[in-house]
Amino acid sequence: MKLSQIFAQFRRIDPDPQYSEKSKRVILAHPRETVSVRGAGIMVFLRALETGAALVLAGFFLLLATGSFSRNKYLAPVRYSVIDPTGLQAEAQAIDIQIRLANLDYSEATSTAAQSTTPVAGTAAHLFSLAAKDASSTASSTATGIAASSTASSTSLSVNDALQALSQ
Amino acid sequence: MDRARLIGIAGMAAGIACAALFVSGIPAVHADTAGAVPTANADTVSTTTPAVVPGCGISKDDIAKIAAVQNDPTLTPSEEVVAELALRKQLIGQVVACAQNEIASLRTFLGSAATSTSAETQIERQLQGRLDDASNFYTIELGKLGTAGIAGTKAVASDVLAWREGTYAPLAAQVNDFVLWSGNQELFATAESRMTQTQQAVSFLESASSNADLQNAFNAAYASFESAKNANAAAQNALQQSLPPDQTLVLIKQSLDSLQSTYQQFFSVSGIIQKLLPQ
Repeated sequence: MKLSQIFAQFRRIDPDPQYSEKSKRVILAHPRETVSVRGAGIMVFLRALETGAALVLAGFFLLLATGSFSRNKYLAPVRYSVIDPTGLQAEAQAIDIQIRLANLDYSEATSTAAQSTTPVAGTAAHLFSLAAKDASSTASSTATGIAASSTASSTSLSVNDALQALSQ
Repeated sequence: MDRARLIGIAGMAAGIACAALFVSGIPAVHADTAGAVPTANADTVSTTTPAVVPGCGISKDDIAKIAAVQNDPTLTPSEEVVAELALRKQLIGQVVACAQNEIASLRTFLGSAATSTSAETQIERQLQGRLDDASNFYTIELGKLGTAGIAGTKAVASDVLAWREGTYAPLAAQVNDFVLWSGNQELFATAESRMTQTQQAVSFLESASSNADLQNAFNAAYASFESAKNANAAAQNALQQSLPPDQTLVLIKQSLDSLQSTYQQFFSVSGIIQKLLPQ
């Protein structure tokens, strides 16, 4: 059989009428989506909503990661400074300095000042200043420094000593 | 909007966030500070020092001049009295001027205190007012010298001395206490921030896995800090009520000691957390 004859026979092939009818009913029974202008607008709106939601979520993640919710204990990240010994050490050292200042005996400072020309209040303030300028030095060494400087002017009297002498 | 689309949105957002973090260098893992961390240098302490008055004191030689006048054989008794009186008035004037400079110095020192709350400002104003009173007292005593004789000048010197010991010395000590206490407030604010962050970290880690040592160390830190805050508040109350300066100083020392204990516990908490976290 020649190839042309075979094609001629193909043209005469028809579907089974019952199957055609069944297929037609199935196709017609399937709900068709109606594409309208209004529907397209809603789709565009939804797409924009999706994009906006994605951007908002991205911003939220960024703020969360950078610790911007530190005031909220449920959203704040674990601070690494909590385990940072350097920061802790600096803060503890600042407290040590204040303790040294508090332990400076004011009466000792005033009695030391009595031997010098430095006024009482000025001496107390001077102790603060010295302790602040030299955080590594101890309070005792600071007081010693004051005492050493006072001996240099042993002929001078404090205000109280001068008043004591003038009251006699 | 179906489930797959929601997952897609979340994934897109996470992707954008990751990309932004990658570009910015991931700041969240930087070891930030617990707030305004005071450094351990001079900046932590008030360094505004009042100018020390140079050479305003009286030397022993100046006092010796009185005896020299009294024993001067060239002077008649009346000339001797006049000379001694003039000398005494001059010396008392110098001493009182020096004492006024003390007040000015103390006033500057008081002004260097960091006052951020209304209570602190109120205490500072109260102390400034008392310094004004002290200055006025000296002015009044100087005025008495005008008509005073030798006995009168001695009485003025004696009164000023007694007043200084009974009134001025406690006032100066209270000013020192206040400046010291005001310098502590920054430390307490930093410790408060540190405590909040530590509490968050401990809660986070405890929610993942309970650790008795960690909880105990944090509880100890919390208790110490509460004690420190109580003593600090009591010191403020003592300053407001002008209680004896020694009493105030004891409270300030107590608050600092407790604060120091708090940081020792912070170190313990830090060590435990470092062991718990993956290396």
